[in-house]
Amino acid sequence: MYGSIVNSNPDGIVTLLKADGSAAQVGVVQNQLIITEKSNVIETVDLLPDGAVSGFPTLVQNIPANVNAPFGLATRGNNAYVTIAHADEISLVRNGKVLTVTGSGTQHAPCWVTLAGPFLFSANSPSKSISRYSVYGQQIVQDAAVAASLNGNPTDIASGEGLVAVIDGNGTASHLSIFGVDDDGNLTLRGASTMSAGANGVAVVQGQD
Amino acid sequence: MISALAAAHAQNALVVTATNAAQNQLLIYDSTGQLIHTVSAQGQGGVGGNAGGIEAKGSLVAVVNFGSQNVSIFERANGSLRMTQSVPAASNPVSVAFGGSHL
Repeated sequence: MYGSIVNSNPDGIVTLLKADGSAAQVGVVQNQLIITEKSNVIETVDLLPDGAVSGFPTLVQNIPANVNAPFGLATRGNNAYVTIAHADEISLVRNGKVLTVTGSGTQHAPCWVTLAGPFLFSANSPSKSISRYSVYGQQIVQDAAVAASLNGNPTDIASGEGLVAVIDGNGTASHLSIFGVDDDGNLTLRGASTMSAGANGVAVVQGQD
Repeated sequence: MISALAAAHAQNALVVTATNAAQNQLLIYDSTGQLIHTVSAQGQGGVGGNAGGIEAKGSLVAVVNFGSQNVSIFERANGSLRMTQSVPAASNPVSVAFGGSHL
C-alpha cells in the first residue's frame, strides 16, 4: 500500500494447506498471517520484513484433538484468538502454537470474535448470543456467558470506537445491532437496523474524518 | 463510564456491512444504526460461511466481492465513504485483513 492506494499486483501468493474451499478468515500477527480453514486447519504464513507473503503455510502446533471447524479469529500483537466453532471452544495461538483452549459453556458455536480492550466478545451462531471473555497473558476467561441476545443467528462481529457491532440473520432478513461497550465490558444497545437477507461482514470505521 | 472522548469517537463512528448481493453494495450506518448511505462496491457478492469479509483500518475499508474475484477499497470522506479502488484477487475472496502496509 502507498498511503491509501493498494498496489493491484500481489507481492506474493501462497496456496493454503487444504485449499478445499473451506477457508474462513485471515488475520495478521506480528510477522505472520494466520488463517483458518473449516476443514480443521489453523495455519500460519510468514511475512517478509516488507510485509510480503513468503514460503509455504505451516500447520499450527497443538491444535486440540477434538478440533471441529476452526472459524473466526481476532488478533492483537502476537496473539490470535481463534474459534473452534463446532467444538464450542476458543483458542489462543501464539508463535505458531495453541497455548490454551477455553470452552464456551452454555453458549454454542462461538463462530466470530472481536477484541475490545481487555475483553474478547464472541458471536455464538446457534445460541443467538454474544459472550464476553476477559483475556490476559495466556488466559481466556468467560465472565459473561450471555452479554447480549440477538434476533437471529450472528454471522460476524466487529468492534472499535467504544462500539461492538453484530450482523445476524434469520433466513428472511439480516439485522445490524450496534452496542456501546463500557469499561466493564457491559453492552448497551445503541441502535439496530433490518436489511435484506444475506448481508455479509461488519466493520466499525473510525470516527474522525 | 465511557470517557467523553470515547463517547465522541463512538458518536462519529460509522458501521458498515455489505449486501453480498449479485451487485454488491456497502451499507453505511451511523453509530445509532441509521442507514445514511448505500454505495456500490462495483463487484459481485455471493460469499457465505466465512468471517472477516469486511475490514476497516483507520479511514479505509476493504470489502470482498466473491463473485467478481476482487476487493473494493473505500475511504472515509465527508462523513461517509467513497469507493476509491478495485483490487483483483487470485481467486474468489472470502476474508480480508490489513497488516502493516499491506492488504
